[in-house]
Formats: sequence, C-alpha cells, structure tokens
Amino acid sequence: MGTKLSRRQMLQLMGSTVVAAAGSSLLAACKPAGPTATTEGPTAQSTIEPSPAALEQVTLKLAFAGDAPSSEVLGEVLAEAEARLADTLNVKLDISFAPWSDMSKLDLILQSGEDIDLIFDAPWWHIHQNIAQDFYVVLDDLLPVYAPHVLEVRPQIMWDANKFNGKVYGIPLGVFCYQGRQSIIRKDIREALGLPKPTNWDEMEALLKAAKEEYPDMIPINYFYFGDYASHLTTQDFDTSPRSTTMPDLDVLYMEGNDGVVRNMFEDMSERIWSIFQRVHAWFEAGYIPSDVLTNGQNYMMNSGKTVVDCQTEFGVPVTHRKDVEAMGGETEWVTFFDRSKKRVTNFLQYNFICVPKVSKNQERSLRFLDWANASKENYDLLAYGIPGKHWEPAGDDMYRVLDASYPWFPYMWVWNPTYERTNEEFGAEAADWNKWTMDANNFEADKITGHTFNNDAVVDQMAQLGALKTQYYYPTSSGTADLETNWQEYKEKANDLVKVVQEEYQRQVDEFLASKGG
Amino acid sequence: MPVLDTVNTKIRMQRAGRIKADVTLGERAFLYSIYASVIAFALFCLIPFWLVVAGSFTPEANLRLDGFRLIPRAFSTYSYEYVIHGNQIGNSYLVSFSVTIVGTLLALAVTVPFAYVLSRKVWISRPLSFLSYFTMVVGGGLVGFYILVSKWLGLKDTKWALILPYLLDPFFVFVLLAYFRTVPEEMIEAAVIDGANDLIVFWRVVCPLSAPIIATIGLFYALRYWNDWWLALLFIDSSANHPLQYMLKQLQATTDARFYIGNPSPRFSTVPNYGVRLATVVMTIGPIILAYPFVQRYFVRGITLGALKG
Amino acid sequence: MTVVQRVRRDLAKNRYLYLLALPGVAFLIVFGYVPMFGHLIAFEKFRVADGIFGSEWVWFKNFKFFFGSQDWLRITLNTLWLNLLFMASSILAGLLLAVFLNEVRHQLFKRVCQSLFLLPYFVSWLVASMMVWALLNSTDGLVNRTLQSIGLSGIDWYIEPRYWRAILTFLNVWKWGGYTSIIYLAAIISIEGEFFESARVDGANRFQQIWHITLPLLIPTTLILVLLSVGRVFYGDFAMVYGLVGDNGMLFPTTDVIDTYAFRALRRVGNFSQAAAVSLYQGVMGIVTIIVVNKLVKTIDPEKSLF
Repeated sequence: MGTKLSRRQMLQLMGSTVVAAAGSSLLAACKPAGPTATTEGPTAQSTIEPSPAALEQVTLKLAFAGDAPSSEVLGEVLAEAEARLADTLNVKLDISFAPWSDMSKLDLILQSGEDIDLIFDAPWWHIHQNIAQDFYVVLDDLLPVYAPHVLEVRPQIMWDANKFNGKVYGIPLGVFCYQGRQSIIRKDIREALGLPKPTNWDEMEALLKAAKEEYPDMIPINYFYFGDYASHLTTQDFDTSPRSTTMPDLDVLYMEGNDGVVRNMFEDMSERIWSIFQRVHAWFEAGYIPSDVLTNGQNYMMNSGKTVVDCQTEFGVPVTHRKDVEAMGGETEWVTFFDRSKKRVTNFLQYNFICVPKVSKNQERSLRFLDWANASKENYDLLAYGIPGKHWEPAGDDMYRVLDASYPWFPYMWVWNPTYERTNEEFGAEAADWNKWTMDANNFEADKITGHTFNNDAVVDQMAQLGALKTQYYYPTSSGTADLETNWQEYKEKANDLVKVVQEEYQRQVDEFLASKGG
Repeated sequence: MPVLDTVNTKIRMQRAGRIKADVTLGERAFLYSIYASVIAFALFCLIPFWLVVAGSFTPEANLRLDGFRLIPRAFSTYSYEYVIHGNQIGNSYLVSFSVTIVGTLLALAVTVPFAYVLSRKVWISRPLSFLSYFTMVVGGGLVGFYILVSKWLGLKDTKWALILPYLLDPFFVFVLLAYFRTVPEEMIEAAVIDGANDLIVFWRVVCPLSAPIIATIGLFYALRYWNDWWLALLFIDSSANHPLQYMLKQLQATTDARFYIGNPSPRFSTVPNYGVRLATVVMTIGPIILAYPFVQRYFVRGITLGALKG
Repeated sequence: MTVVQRVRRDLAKNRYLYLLALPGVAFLIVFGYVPMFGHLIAFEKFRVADGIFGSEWVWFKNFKFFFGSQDWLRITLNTLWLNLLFMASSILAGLLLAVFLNEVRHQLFKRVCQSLFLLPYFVSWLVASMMVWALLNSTDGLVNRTLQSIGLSGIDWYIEPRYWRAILTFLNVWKWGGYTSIIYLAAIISIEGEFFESARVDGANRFQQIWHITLPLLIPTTLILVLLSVGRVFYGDFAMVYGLVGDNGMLFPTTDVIDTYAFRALRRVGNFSQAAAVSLYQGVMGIVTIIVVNKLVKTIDPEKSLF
C-alpha cells in the first residue's frame, strides 16, 4: 500500500524529524562544550528598542508545511500565546499549512507576492532559489535589535554554518550537528537465529543471510527513502566521511575526507564508494533487498511485520514501530554503526529555516514575536508542546511526557533551538545518550567548506536536468536494483558532461571561498 | 394497412415481453457475449471498490499484515468511528454539499446557454468556439490564476473560490454542442414561425429535448465539484471551509490522522492510518452513488419521448 | 466590414443569443484569458518585487533546461504515445460499453451497471496505486502468486519497464471507460426508435442494427471526443503516472512523461518561470495539433469540426 513517498517521509530523512505519533524530539543542542557558550551571536548584547506599551493589533501570517493540527487545537494554543502577548506585542497569529505532498503552495505564495510575514524554507526545499530571487529580508542587522533572544539560544557555529552568501537569510531551526542513523532490528527474530547484535556491516550481512534462509517470506532489509542503501552505509562511515557537497546523503558530486575538493563520481570514483555500490547490488542479487524497493513506500516498514531490518534516521525505535511489533508478539531493538572513536566531517548545515519575506508589512513585529518565543522556556514550551497540563507535562528539566497527542510536534517550523529543547520520555536512555553525543560539536570535524553557499545561477539548467536524471539512474544504482555496470555506464553517458560543468563551477566557488577564509 | 398493423402489434407485444422474439442462434450468441462483457466490466469496476469497502471495515493490524482481501479476516468500524468522531467531518460534508449544489446549478446556467449559442448558425459561433477551445488547451498558468483569484478577486478562504473557477468547462461545452446540433432544425423553425424568440426556443424547445445530455453534464459538473481538492489546496486556509475531498487528502498525507481530525479521546489509542484512507474514500462516494439513480430518470425519460414521437 | 460593425449587426439580429452567451463569455474572459498573462513569466527572470510586467526579459532561457536535455524527445514521444493509447482505448471502451449496455433489456440490471461503471472515477490514483501494488508487488502480489500456482515464474513488475505501457492503458480504461460510456449512452438514447423498428421490419438482426444504425450515428460524438482529447495530447496525466510510478527510475523509459520529468527537474532546483516554460510548450504544441486535426476533419465533413 502507499506507493508515493510523502514529503513527510522525505523530511524525516532530511532530518527535520518528526517521528510519528506522540511527537518526538532529539535532545538539545549542538552546544560546543567549553567556554564558547551560548551568547555568541553577532552582538548579543543589543540595544533593544523597548516595544511601545500599547501597539495596534496586527495579524501575523505564517506559512508552514506539514501536518496541520485541527483548527480547534491549534486555536487553543495560539489563543494562549496571544493572551500572553496581549499587553506587549498585541498580535494575532494566523498559521496556514501546506501539506507535505503539495509544498509548492509555499512557492506559489512567494511568487504571487502574497502578504506573508514568516515562511518556512529549507536547503532541501527551495531556499537557494528563493534567496537568489530576492524574496527574503537579510536579518544580520535586524536580529540584534529586534530578536536578541533568537541569537542567544543558538550557538555561534550554528549561525556561522548556516549563512547564505555570507548573510543570514533565515533563522536556522535545529539542534544537532549531524543527523543520527540507525538500523532497527527485529530482536525476536535475531535471537531465534542465535545471532548477536551486529556491530558492523559484515555481521549485519550474516544476519540478513540467516534471515533469508529461515524466514523466506520476510524482507531482510528495507529502506523506504528511494531505497538509497548506499547512503545508509556511507553516512555511517566515519573513516572517510563520504558525502555530497551539502547533504550527508551521497550524490554524483561528492566529497571525501576534508580537503575541500569536489569530486565527480564518473571520473573519479572512490574505491570505497564503488565497493559499497557493489555490496548493495550483491544484496539485491541475494534477495535481501526487495525488487520493488523504489516504489514500495511504507509497505514493508517494520510495523507491517514483513521486515527484519529497517533503515532509519535518528536514534531510538519510533513509538509506532515498537508498539505495532509488540502487538504482533515481537520485539524491536536498534543499532547504529557510528564510531565514537572517530570524528565525522560535517558542515553543520541545518535543515529548516524560518524566513521573513520582503513583502511582509510587519517585519519588525514578526521578529519581535520570534524573540518572545525564544525568550523563555515557558514561551518555547507552549508553542512546541502545547498547553502545559493539558497536552503535556514536564518530566524533569530536560524531558517531557505527552498527555494529549492532538497537538502535533512542529517546532522545526518556527522555534526549534538547542537551549530549550526537551526530549520525549519515550525514547529511552541509550538514544538520549547518542543524541547528546551528536549535539556536541567537539565530536565532529568541521568541513572546510562550512558556511559556503553554492550559487547555482550559472548552472541551473544542468542541475535541473541532473535532478531528473538522478531519479532515473542514481537511485537504481544506490538501491542495488539495477545492473551495476550497464546502468552506471548509461548514466555516465547522459550525465557526465552536465556533472563536469557543475563540478567546475562548484570547485571554483569553493576555492574562492577557502581563499577568502585564508585557508 | 393491415400488414403494418400486425407487425406493429407484434413489436409492441414483444416490448411488453409477451411473446418471445424470433431470435436466431447468432443473435442469441451475440446477446450472451454482450451480457458477458458488461458483467465482466462491471466486476472490473466493482471489485477494486469492494476491496476498498472491505478494507475500510477491517482493523488496522489486519490491513497491515494481510493487505487487501475480498473477505477480511476481522470486522471493525474503528476507522469510521475515528473519522466521524472529530468535528471536521460535519463541516466538510456541509461545505461539499453546498458548493456542489450551488456550483452545479450555476455551472449549468452558464454552460448550457453558451453551448446553445455556439450550435446556432450565427456569425459569432465560430470565433467563440475557437476562443473556448483555446483556453482548454493553453491553460492560464498557475501563477496567473492564483493571483487573479486570491488578489484581484479577493476570494481567498471563501466558498466562491471553490465555485467560480469551474463554472464553464470547454469540454462540456463541446459535448453539449455536438448534441444540440442534432436537434432537428424543423422543430426550431416551427417554433419561430409560431412567434417564439431565441430565448423561448431555447427554453421551451431545445432544453426539454436535450434533457438527457443536460442531466449528464449536470452530473459531471456535480462530480467535479464534489471531487475537487485542488481549489481548496490553493485558496482555503481555515479548516471550517475545507471541502470533503480536501479533508481526505489531508488525512492521506498525514502520518498521523489524529492531528487533523483533532481527536484526543483515549478510546482511540492507535491510529488507523490505512483504514482512514479507505474509510474516507467510501464516505466520499456514498452520497454520489445515492444521488445517481435520481439522475438516471432523465435517461429513461428520453426514451419515452422518442417512443411517443414515433 | 470591420469586426465591430459585424458584431453590431449580428447583435441587433440575434440579441437574445448574445444574452444567452453573455455569462459564458464573461467567464471565459475572467478565468480563461486574464490569467494568461501568467505565461509571460516563461520568458522572464521573474522577480516578485518587479512584478510580472517589470521583470527582466530573458527570451527562451527558461526553456533550456528542458530542451537542452538529451531526453526531451523521448519524453515527448512517451507523452504522445501514452496519450494516444489512452484516448483510443477509453473512447473505444466507452463506446462499446454504451452500445452493449443499451442492448440490455433488464432495467434494474442496466441501472446497477451504470452506477458500477462510474465507481472507478471516484477511486483516486493514490488508492488505486495501493491496489496495483497489492497485485504486482514481488513478495506477495496476487498476480505473481497466481502465476506461480500454475507453474510459471513470477515477474518483477516494478523493475521491468516494458509492461507498463499496457498496464497504464489498462488502468486508464478502468478509470475512464465508464465515465465516457455515459456520454455515449445519452447520445444513443436520443436515436429515434423508428429507425430500429423499420430495420427490424426489413429483417435486420440486432447485430446488423447496431452496425448500420447505432454506430454511424455515434460518429459525431466520437469525433467530438477525439477532437477534445487531441488538444491535450501533450499533457501527461501527472496524477496517474506519478501516483503509480512515483520515483521509480527503472520504469521511466516507457512511462516518463513531460509533466513528471518537469516535476522532478523542478522539485529541487526550479522556479515557476521554468515550470511556466514547460506548460507553454505543452499548450502551444496542443494548439498546433488541434488546428491541424480540425482542418483535417473539416475536409472530410465540415459539419463535424469544432470550429
């Protein structure tokens, strides 16, 4: 069932994380441990103009994407927020949601010049194009004046890494330095096979082999996001950190190590990556990977009871998976191959931003509103989790317990930050520990090109064509379903010229960027 | 004429089912194959729908494990209770009904006269024909349309945004046009001689004769309004104005239907995501399938008219 | 005589007709022609701040991403071929169903069938794709299980492009056959009963009556349906193809249409100008097609052309 991949699922992979049901959250910050503490944003000590006592009421329009809560529930929470703001900012909040499957509505809103005060955008969505088309206000000078709290609660590295063309075009919304990865395993099946919990891919393969023999009706390993098993392997590879230029997932234009060199898979294929492609294809030939993995959507997820191993992002078994499998009499566990002894290279790019469109007539008020939202734990808690006592209650300082799940979890649309984030109790201690680890910037090596924005103006046509080709040729390779040699050859013939052009342009910009940084 | 009388009587009695027609073996085989094809296609249409209905009455766990089954292993109305429980469903039905009824009537009022004019042999018909067809092939483009409706006409978040854009569909115009061309010219001339102007000819002569096709087009418009979620996606923000299909689409797209329906009752501890999709399909089709027999009357009436004329 | 004078004279003669057409014309202007200004952004580097009439004019630059690719011809041909298959099969199916259904004497049976035929129209492609999945998937799909039970080996449907033109056509007939048959039924019902009676008197059997009376009288309807579909022949059915094939690249050689290609290309990178360029391409090609086909029809029988 369900062949079409919903945006929400893509989003989950891209790390703006919503784990279904009782809402989730990762633990807080990518706090750099040590003296570079929290107040390092550009001029955090600001001269705030005091808001005038009685402002005229204004309705702020926000445009988000995703699962819209019912008007009733949202109305309750917003009413409470508006009540708290009545004496100071005096705003009414009007939030509209574009469904994941139709996010182009956000584009339409921008392109038609509609009156919007705050809008969601992301690097995996269209933030680069929208910035190039001059839709957003530059926030560098405005934030210290109108929204100093917004600056305070996010660490310096997050601001540095998430500028575009050297400027702040959107407030980064995220908490971690590098997205978690895990494989969820049916514990009961593994134990029935008499195998230990895998600690590397060879052991995992042994598990898949045994599972295939003993349980021929089950899918040994599944991954719904384009079946991109290769990326699932490379993102957990801390030796050479293979990655694409911006995202942790792999692409034909890739990077390895940390030398600021943009590589082209067609001309300069890394042996490591090629061996991963071969391995994945071997899995397909051996029957570990379902042949319709490119279309299967949610069909083989753990909670259909048809899968032994399920590839996921983040840490900790999602609540629905756990409950559904237990209802079938099974048990789940999870494992990650992140290597704490090594430092993975990452560019600290966040996956969600909130931006102020230039057409907004209430720019100052909107920023002040975000300032309020980031000013205290109470304000943040309200918008993120709902009305305390009704929708949730605290479980200590750092965690929370869901009482009423009708208010969905979407702080990553407007307020998400490391300082006030609470974890959902449901995820357990081990996941919480791993989350803390990925929060800490010291555990990672900063990519040389952190903070670089690629201006794709010169190559926008090539990239559009490559986008179309990627679905056709790349994913069949990285999912193992296509014949490796012939498919890759065809892909090369069609795409290499395009990729070379983009590569040259990209490398040129990277070199400029590195030169300007003095290294 | 005696022979013809006998034949006519024979035919009338045949029609009344009194005497069996002199049917050859070939005709009989032909008739059987017709029945077989019709039944086959009817099943082809019915079975997937049946699977949806059966699935909607299945507990979520079974759906996930077994998928679609003709006879589900277990019966449950959980999905329906889930959908109905929230307030949204009532709202959405109301919106859909009002938009469909008003929309269909207005659309017929705009489309049918327009198509009639196109069928007459006046100079303006050809240019209008081309101009209508042109819009069908070269759409307005999304951005232009969006700016028009939300900015210039100011219809954002109103029901009129759901009604007005579909008032005239060139496809239906041309179907009506083809039909109007078959109306015998003598009847119109006779009416004109009796002193009727164009309006009366249209209303008193052509419309009654064209009842089957007008009913058909009315049905198609109703289906379009009823099924549409596109306009709602573009122009409706508040859930009070969400038509049924848009609500369904939201449910299908969300990972957790609970948010949209707003349904915190502890009774519903698990979320029937697949079941909800199927249940909502059934709830959409229900009203139309019930209404369709009423429209079918017009098809029968056409036969009566034809027989009387003979 | 100028156009204005022509219109004036016509108006005086046929004022009531103009009255009847007025709401339709108003609608066409407002909802049909006014939004066409949006097409201008296909030729512009659109900036909202400058508006549609102030943005920089870049001629055909926005078309390059599509025509510069190696695949644009293959995709266009895919679109055309699929649409022709769809058009022919659904019109034929609608025609046959209507003719057959008309032969059915049993009134209740007839009505029930009419309702059933309409059901697929309501099943959205999202739900339909769930069903197709249940039939064709490689682990427990119904089709493979049936094949295996009679001794044949299963087929990996979702990675073999060659079956999919047929599969899509089949599904299209399922969805639209009943809908189309309703149009034909309305036309059949209006055929004078006298024709059939006199034919029977002349000794024609039922088959001959259908062949010589019903079918010829349905040619105008068929022609209209063909003409109406032909203008959209460059527009793929995005909801259907994307709903069923999704992002499964293995199937693209036979199923990738202009709309899905543009969607993928623009999903990550694009802007509305590029999307507008593709729509304009589809629209212009459609107009060219219909003008050619309409002229053709006119030479055969002027009565039956659209304009």
